[in-house]
Amino acid sequence: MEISNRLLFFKYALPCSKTLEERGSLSREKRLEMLELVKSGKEPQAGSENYFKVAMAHLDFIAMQKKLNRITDEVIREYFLFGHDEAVDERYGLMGDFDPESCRTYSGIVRSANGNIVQVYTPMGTREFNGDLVSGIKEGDIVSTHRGYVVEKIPKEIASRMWESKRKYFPDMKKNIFE
Amino acid sequence: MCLTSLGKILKVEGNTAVVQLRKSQREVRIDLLKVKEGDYVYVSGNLGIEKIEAEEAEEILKTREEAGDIGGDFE
Repeated sequence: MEISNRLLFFKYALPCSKTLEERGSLSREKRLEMLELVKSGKEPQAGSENYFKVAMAHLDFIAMQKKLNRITDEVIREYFLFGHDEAVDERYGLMGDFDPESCRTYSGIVRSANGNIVQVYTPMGTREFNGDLVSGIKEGDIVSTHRGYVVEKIPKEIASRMWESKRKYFPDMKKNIFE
Repeated sequence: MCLTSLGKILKVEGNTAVVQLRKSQREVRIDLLKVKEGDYVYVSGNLGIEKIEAEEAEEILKTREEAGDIGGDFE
């Protein structure tokens, strides 16, 4: 199924791409090429999304359930912001061979931005993220993050829903900062 | 790290299939696939992701069994 906003898809998908490289299903050259394109606001070549088979299947399925004929921004966010954790949890439950915290997507508020180094307050606490995928990021912005990267600025309402969805992982988490 | 599990389809009912994984059975949606009983599929959560040929699947399962792995191999 066609993706309306391929750039948004790659911003969410690429932070996980090192795993594909490690497994041999994506070359280092191709991964870095895609990353550089997305950092400069350009889309990777047609078909590159097929490296992300699982994400694409979930996106197709969500779009199909919504009776859409293309993968919209809403579909991309529904999967990566609210559905992706399930896959992470499934794998961790089976194997426990990685750090699930870093693989999940989080909402947060930017505490500082210095070059491409962005400090974001998330349910995990304040963490450092790479800001290369977004432009004009500044203190106070509400953002989503994925595996070491700030992905995009998001509406407060979505950030609030995401924050609450992480409470099961962090029972001692402070109150929802977006409420 | 959204890895998959590989399993064999035991039963198909409409858009749903029961898949035998290594240690458990799981009911999954197969809307995206053309599959039948006996086929091998990769599963992520409750969604069938991809069908693979039996010979290849059995080889992968054998390799994983030997390695003590039960996960998948793509994102």
